[in-house]
Amino acid sequence: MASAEDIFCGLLRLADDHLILGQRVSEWSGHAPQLEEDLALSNIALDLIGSARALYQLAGETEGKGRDEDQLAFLRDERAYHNLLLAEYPNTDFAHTILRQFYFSSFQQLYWQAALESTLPELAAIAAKSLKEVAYHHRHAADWVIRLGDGTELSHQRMLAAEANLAPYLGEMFEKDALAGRLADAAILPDPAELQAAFAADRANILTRASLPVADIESRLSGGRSGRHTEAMGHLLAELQYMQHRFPGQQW
Amino acid sequence: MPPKKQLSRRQLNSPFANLIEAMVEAKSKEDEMTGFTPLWEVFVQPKGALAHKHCGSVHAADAEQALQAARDVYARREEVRSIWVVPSAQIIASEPEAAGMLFDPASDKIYRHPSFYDIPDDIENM
Repeated sequence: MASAEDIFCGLLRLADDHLILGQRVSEWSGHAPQLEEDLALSNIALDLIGSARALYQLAGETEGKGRDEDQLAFLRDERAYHNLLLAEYPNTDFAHTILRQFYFSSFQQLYWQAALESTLPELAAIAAKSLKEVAYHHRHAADWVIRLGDGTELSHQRMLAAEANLAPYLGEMFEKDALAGRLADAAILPDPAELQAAFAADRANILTRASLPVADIESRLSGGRSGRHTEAMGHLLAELQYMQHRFPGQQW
Repeated sequence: MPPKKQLSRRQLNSPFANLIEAMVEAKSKEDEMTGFTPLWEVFVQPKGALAHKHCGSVHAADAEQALQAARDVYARREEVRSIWVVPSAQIIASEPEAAGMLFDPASDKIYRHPSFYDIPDDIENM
């Protein structure tokens, strides 16, 4: 049986994935290789942060301690964030950024599809709205993965490097710990383990079309779900939280 | 003379391969940087509007990417129903020097405007 605290923690994981990846992608604003892609990435970042807002609001209401979306997003310590390590992986270069986006979008598209059936109606509503957005993120990112993997010698080499670096993080998306199990049993959140086969098929399809090797999905690096992060996370939070630390309670 | 650009396999397999090759060839002579990403004109049909309207241009390697770029650049805030992208090199334009010959004769033919007729109320879009 899932308690209110379980639901709060489950929503927080989901919200943190979107906030942290949204923050990462937004780092490209003004720096992308061309204007068209600058806007495309900024649009994706805004979609992710928009989903995070809705999820934090719902999490805050579920928790019932009066914490709003800003407090949840900005005023927690590193160990209290429960995002996937993949989401905090540094942008590195455009190949890493776009492959990371493809992986997350592929997973999240399956996740939202399953979440349409959630017994928590507010979550099903967020899933319906986010599904249209993530479908475009998936299309855009997959298109680039194919284009770069099957492109020039240099772009192929960069995609190979990105694939090798990101592969160890993929297994974490499908880990089903006790909390995920309780939430899946109560049909509140989708069972992440059940999404792996469809994700693997989508990934194999796109990587093959991109002339890239398809390595097994590994779970070598994980820990984000229990608050154990990579070194990159502290730097990301320093920037993300700066304004709220400098001007507590500040609003736009 | 800059080195000849190599098209990616994807560009070569596209139905627009010849066109893209010609655009890249022409463009790479004048601009090394954007040689790979030809220019496309973007036409947007807003919701409730009848016709597509030219709204700007994007750089993109091929038609599919041009459509996505157009969506990201020109459909961010507006309510859009449909987008067209057209290779800029395919636009055939009138010569600016011919403007006098082509357009000035119309300016003193006021009777060509429908302003001398009463338009029935139920005629829309005039």
